[in-house]
Amino acid sequence: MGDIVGKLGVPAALATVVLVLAPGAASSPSATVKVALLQGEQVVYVNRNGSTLRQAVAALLAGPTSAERGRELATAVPSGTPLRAATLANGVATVDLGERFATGTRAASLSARVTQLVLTATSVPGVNSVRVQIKGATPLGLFPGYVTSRPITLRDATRPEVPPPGPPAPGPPTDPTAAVRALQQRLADLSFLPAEAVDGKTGEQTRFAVIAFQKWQGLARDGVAGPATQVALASATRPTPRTTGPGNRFEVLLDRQLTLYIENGTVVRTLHVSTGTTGFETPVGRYSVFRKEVNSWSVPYKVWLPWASYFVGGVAFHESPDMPAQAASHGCVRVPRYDSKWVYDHAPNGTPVTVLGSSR
Amino acid sequence: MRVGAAAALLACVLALPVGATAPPPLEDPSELVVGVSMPVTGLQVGAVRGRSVVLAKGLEIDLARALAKRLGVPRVRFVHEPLFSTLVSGRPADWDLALAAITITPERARRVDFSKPYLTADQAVLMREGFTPVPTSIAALRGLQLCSERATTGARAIVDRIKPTRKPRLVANPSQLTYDLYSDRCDAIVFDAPVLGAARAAAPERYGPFAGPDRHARALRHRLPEGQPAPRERERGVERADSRRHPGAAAEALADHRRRDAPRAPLVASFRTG
Repeated sequence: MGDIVGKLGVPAALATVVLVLAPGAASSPSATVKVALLQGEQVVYVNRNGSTLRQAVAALLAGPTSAERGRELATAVPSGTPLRAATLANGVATVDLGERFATGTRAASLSARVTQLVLTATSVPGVNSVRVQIKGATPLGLFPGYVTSRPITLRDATRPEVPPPGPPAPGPPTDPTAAVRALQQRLADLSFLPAEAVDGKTGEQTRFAVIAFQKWQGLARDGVAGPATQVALASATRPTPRTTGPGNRFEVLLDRQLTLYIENGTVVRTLHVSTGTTGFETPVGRYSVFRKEVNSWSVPYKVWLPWASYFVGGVAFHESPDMPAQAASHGCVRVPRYDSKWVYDHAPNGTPVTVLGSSR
Repeated sequence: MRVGAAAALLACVLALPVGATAPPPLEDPSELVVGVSMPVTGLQVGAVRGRSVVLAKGLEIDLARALAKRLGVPRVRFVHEPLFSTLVSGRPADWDLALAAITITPERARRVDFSKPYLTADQAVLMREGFTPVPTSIAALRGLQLCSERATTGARAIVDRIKPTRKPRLVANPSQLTYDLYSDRCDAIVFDAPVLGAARAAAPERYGPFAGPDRHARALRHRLPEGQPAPRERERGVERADSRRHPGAAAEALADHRRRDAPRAPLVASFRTG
């Protein structure tokens, strides 16, 4: 795994793309093409045999191998998409695909598959831009975020479309109450809420802490401290690590949709998170943080990922405004905005991250 | 919809000679040729080769097919007009009718025969995901961080109709607007209902409830949860607004669009509170 910028000579905007070489596959660079797949919120290149534009696109349409799927590499290209033609003239690759390529209505998927195609094609020597065609025709409005009436460059596909986000808007003002303060204090004592968030005011941060507690206890995840939650709170003890290890580290519990931050064997924080949904599962294993970006641009999905700490491929802890109680991400570990900077600050490069499928 | 423009209406346009007492016959009785000007998100998108449309999707595409079915015409063929102005030029065209989002002006009405509008591009409110409590009145919007695009009807609606207590955030374009909502820079955005409806339909996980349109400041009191059928009043309204020679087809198309795949019908969803 290495920095793709120097190897491919592409703009700095592509710095978030991760290069993954299949073991033993890079012995002869001239006989391989690079195929852009998805992992987490980023694009990951894998090598395939071949040297031509047509071979590269065909390999993209074939999708990840079973071994790669086991490593949670994915694709947004619909299976069975036919390749009608792939030609190269004057640096412009014209790739004509079947109608299946435009299947679906999800903007993220439609955008990501074009990104994959452009990154794959432009990794072939001599290709500067890609003209996408469907059944020999020019797509108009089929792929949100892309103007497909003209050839698409690597820069078009990778540059951020909007400026990095500023600070979130504050929530509506509320008056503090003793009951809310007591609930918050209990949640803080158990590691589900930071001590500085105990203010007696209702709000989303407290609701997320309640959800985290409910996840740990196996209760319904509604964020409301109802009778069952109150009973459980009265007798609960602080969560304990699921694995052993020295120093400061993270555990991501996929079954509970929680992340534990552990210092010398003690759980300091228990965080409500949302990991990869079906088809985009967060890969189970032992990793360590290897790259950090205060604002990381998701190349395939075209969104900013604030406070990103990457720990395997394109998979990172990052802030997200969309924090359902279930797994919902493209493979990353979404963190609420209230905790995202805290996680970023506590996850310097080298911090161990253990992703567990089962935490029981 | 820019401030100062006439009220923008999404109108079904028929290629009829002005003053004609009856629709002209189809060039080919077995084929209805429909003019389009792609792309318009949610309404008509596809793939074109020259003027030939080889792939077409969207509400107006389904509407055209419903019209053909009502006429008993077995085939529909779409023809792309790269220049939108061609649709309302009044010059001879090679399509039987065209479907487009058009502002009906007196000048245009002298050149082509418009049907009654089947959808109106009113303003709507889209909440950010997870925002609680969901406002149920215009007054409840006043204390929120509201956003819109600069110099638009939405921006004016915030100031004139909602009268917010916090300074609204006005951005450069719709992409920035929906992004700001998604990333919690706004509690709610006020903008053209079709744009918001299409944005929400394309990425429903990013946004909260759709609460529009706010015509006559009534919308939020009529807010309906996602997926609820359109009010009967709206159905009847569509029926009345249908083209003069194909009564009922527009309503059929809209209803069918919603039944088959609600997320693909942003406009129907958008106007369910009308």
